[in-house]
Amino acid sequence: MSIQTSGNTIRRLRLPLIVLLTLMLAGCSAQWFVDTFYLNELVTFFTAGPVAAYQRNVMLFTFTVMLFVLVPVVGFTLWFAWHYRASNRHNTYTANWYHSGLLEAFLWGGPTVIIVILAVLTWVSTFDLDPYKPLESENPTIEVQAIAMDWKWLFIYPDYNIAVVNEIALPVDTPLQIDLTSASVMNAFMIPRLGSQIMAMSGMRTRLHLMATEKGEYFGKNYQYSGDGFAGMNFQVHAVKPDAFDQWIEQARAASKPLDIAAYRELVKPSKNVDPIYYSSVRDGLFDYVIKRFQEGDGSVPPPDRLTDR
Amino acid sequence: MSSNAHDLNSIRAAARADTEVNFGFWIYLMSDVIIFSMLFLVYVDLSQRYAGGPTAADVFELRGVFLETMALLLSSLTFGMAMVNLHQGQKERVVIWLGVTFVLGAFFLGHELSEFAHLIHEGASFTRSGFLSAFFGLVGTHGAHVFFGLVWIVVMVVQIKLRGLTPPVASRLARLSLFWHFLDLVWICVFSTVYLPGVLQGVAA
Amino acid sequence: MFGKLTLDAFTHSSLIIVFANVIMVGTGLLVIGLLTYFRKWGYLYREWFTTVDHKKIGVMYIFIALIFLLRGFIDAAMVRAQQATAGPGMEGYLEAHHFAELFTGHGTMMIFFMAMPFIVGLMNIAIPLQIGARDVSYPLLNAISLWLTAAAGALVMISLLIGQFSEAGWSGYTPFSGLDHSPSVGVDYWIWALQISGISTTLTGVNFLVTILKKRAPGMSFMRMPMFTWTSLCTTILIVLSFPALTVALALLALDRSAGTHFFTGTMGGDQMMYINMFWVWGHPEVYILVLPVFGVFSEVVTTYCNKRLFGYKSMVWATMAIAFLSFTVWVHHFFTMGQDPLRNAAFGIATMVIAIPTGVKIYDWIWTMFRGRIEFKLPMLWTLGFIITFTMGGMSGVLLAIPGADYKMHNSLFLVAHFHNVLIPGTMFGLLAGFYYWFPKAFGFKLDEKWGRHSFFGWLVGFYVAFVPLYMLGMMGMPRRMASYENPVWHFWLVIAAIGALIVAYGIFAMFMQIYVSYRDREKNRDLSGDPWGGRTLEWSIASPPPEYNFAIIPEVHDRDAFMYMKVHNTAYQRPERYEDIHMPKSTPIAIVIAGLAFVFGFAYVWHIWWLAGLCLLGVIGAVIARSFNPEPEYVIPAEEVERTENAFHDKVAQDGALERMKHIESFGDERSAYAATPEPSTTGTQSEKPL
Repeated sequence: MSIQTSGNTIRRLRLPLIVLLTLMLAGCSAQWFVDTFYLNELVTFFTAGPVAAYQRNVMLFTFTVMLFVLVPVVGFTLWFAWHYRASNRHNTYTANWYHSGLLEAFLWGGPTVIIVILAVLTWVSTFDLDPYKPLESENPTIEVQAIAMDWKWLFIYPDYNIAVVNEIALPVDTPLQIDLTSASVMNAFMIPRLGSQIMAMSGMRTRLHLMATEKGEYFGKNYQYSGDGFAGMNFQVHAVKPDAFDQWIEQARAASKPLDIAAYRELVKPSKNVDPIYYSSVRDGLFDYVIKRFQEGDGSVPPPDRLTDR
Repeated sequence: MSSNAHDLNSIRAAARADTEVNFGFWIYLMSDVIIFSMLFLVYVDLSQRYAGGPTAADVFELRGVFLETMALLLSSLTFGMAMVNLHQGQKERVVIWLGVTFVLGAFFLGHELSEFAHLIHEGASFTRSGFLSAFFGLVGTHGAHVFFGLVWIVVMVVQIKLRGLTPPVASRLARLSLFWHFLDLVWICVFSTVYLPGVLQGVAA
Repeated sequence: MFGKLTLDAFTHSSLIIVFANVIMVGTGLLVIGLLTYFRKWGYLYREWFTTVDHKKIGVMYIFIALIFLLRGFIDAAMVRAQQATAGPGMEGYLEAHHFAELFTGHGTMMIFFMAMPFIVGLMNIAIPLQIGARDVSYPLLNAISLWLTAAAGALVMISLLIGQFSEAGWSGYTPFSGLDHSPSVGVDYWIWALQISGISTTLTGVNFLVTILKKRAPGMSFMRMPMFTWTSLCTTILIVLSFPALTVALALLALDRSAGTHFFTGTMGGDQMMYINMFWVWGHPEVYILVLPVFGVFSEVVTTYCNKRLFGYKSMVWATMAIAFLSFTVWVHHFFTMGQDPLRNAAFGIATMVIAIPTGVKIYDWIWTMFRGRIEFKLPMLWTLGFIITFTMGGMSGVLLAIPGADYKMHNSLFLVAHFHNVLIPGTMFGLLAGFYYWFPKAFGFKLDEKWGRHSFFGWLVGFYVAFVPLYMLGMMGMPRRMASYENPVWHFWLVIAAIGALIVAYGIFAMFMQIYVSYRDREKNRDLSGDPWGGRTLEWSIASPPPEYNFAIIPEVHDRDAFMYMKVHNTAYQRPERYEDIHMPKSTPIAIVIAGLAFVFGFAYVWHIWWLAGLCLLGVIGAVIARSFNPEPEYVIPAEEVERTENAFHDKVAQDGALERMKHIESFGDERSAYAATPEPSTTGTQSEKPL
């Protein structure tokens, strides 16, 4: 009963609706949509590096393939629901029909074909996107060691013997090899516009390769909930020209204090919304030492005067 | 005498492994299998994580474990004897064999507890390292099962004394039997996953 | 004496928590007062607290589920409100740790205390009736399961008043949930609430697995089981095989926190990843534990309201079993970003996708059941249509996340949150509400109001899209989950829209409670006299609504998949046997509630390290079990005359309702009487009782 009423309502309103929709669409350009819904902020699709670009392509391809599932499902559902409504007396009714070998072969076969296509994509892309795999470039790879803390990131550049909190700089078109560990709970490192997320865990070392092909300022974050200061555990990424990168390194070297054991012990204490801190030099082997302290002890780093095991 | 034969049949029927209630106990045992397999996985994962503490070769001593194992294996046999006598309706013998099983089980548990006490005394407690946590966790869970098995044996002996070999008692004995053999099986896995590789490691070193 | 428990535990810094406590305690006192005033305690104790009747137990499960639906939703709404008000330059109204308690509480309550009890409740009400049994295999165990769930829920509730709840997320990842990083009692409450409810679920799993395998009526072979029974069977297998993994993970975490062991600590050789593996070895099957029975509900609903046999029954069965099996092979997809080798990631990614095949088959089978049917758009059918379309989208984003390369990007973002709500809300919630409406008359004897039901449906459906499309967008904008505050103005726009969506869902929930109230008010108008309000096809519709305590006076014989439809077509339904026999039923007993009470006190004592009390309670539980074993299976007898009286009253009502007359016009079952042309009226099997015949 009510279905019929609503059907009539729709029929009566059809013309005005079409007019209204046409006017709306004409009135607002594509730009209007982009501006209103902030579509240019979809960082997943506006990428700035090869890893992220690859991931974007994987997602768009998958999405397209999945439309071959979604469209028939939605279409058939709405069509059948409407057409075979009980009040429609003009259709066939086969109450006892419940099996068709051919149809069921299609129902199993269709999804299988789609999944086989996507499985191939998965296989290939997983190996291509392996975070441990070095990226190809003419420029030599820069090493970074990242230690997640409560609630900030410490980035060590061992080649340059500097360390920075909550800030990363990298020259464009130069691969970055980031080794990750944690001095606290589990964290996850990601710079959305550059590529993959990878977790940082105490007592363990994970690795991630990233590269920026476009100059710019990007945001990076911890993505794994880690406690009270989690929301503020952000860092700024400067993807810059090589000379600007050298300047940035110099700026860090000019900082007032080195990252020795005492400074590390101070830094590792919980703190929130930390602004960038530069360290002019880094105690050699700090990263490996932190990992080892979690494997064999309680994770705390002893005071410098009691430091015997390195 | 015919009524006695009838009793015997109903006892045997109640002790079958595929009655509705005993079937459910099998299903419960399946879930217990998962509990132990998880603990085995934890042990295998943590078995090399000594954190600078004692290693497997340091803490295991095979002679005591061998005695323990023999006691438990033998207790499976004696429980089997109790079940054979149950099928014959021999009430007194069932109680005797249950008693023997209890003694063997208690020996096993007592030995295990003294091993634990020794380790803790030596500073190889479960707080020392991931490896020792996993060891105490796995072996201790098995021990806890044995403990409940012993409690269950006592309850059954009391029930046999009070009620005689009624079908409900026989049905419960059938489940206890499944439980007890299951613990034996788990122990064989513990022996070959925990003690044997640990000691062999020491020999190789 | 009282362990860690001091008066400090009762003081709360947040006014919101104080307010919530006042409401909770106030409501509790009000209910207690009313019950005392109306002298209902005796009735409650005799009829409900001590019952072992599966139908009443099912009703109580769903009662628990509805309470926690409210609480879980309030938490969700507060999370949405916080994120809508904590943008750039704004403070929000919550502190970060309170926000963390809310998202943890929301997940925990919705999964363990809303979805699980709701599913188990529906299983309790429907399964013994569907398979033609008088009760489950172990009625007392069933009651123990129920009251353990209640005890676990009570632990969650009391954490609001005494101490606090966990801040570690519903999955409680180590080492964050370890003592070093979460020293408060919150995680302990979480552990013991989950542990007790998990044990309850395991017992339920064992119980229903045996019930379905051992208690089916004669003639009901596996390939004649109703689809809901089939999917529940697969679910119980999953429960028995997966819940012990959770039990072990939680037990070891509890040891880490209270005994100083190093299983998952991330220091001294503990392995944090081990916990996460174990949690998801349970957690992924759990997803299918939540979804499979609901798939069964949809199958029942589609066949009933399309007035047609289920298309592709065998495919459905195989698909269900395939999903159940595959659900154990995919857990690593919850942590592709953990840094393992690509071979492992690719293998688990592909295994995950393969699940889409049987799931797709099921969806197509429902669609093709509608084909050439007579679809009545009753409320459950609307839920089903909403489910099919919405769930397919959720499945799409799921396949996307199954590709490790894409997951590296979307993991831990709001995209992931949108995805799992997009499968669990249609896949579980919609189906539970469809099943609620579908079986409600069976449990209570009157139908639910259709109008408010539709309001609820559209509230949920529209609210879902308004709340979760923004979360997809935010995920693609790089917003992580679980953020108490943020600085990005763009995110704020979408989060405000999501909060509006939550308000629309709130209307849907309000409408659902209105529906229950209005239906209760008008219950005399909506009586279900025949026991078969929808033109049902399975055995539960062949008996009175609500069924007598013994369900079936005579255990029926099954000749077809649609056993009751077969009877109606062959004119063998509603037959009075020549004579009735005495029926033995298990007696009510307070032991379940005693055991659960001890479990609750044990949990509370463990949380606060009151060791003597915890030990006493444990001894009490063991003692109660032993004591019971000395006096097992007390039964009472319903004499044949009483059975006959009850059944005759039912048959009179059936005749009064015109069901016998309707039976002659059944066209739905095909065979010799698929006389569509001869009966021009639309669908006589729809049998709205108001329709004259």
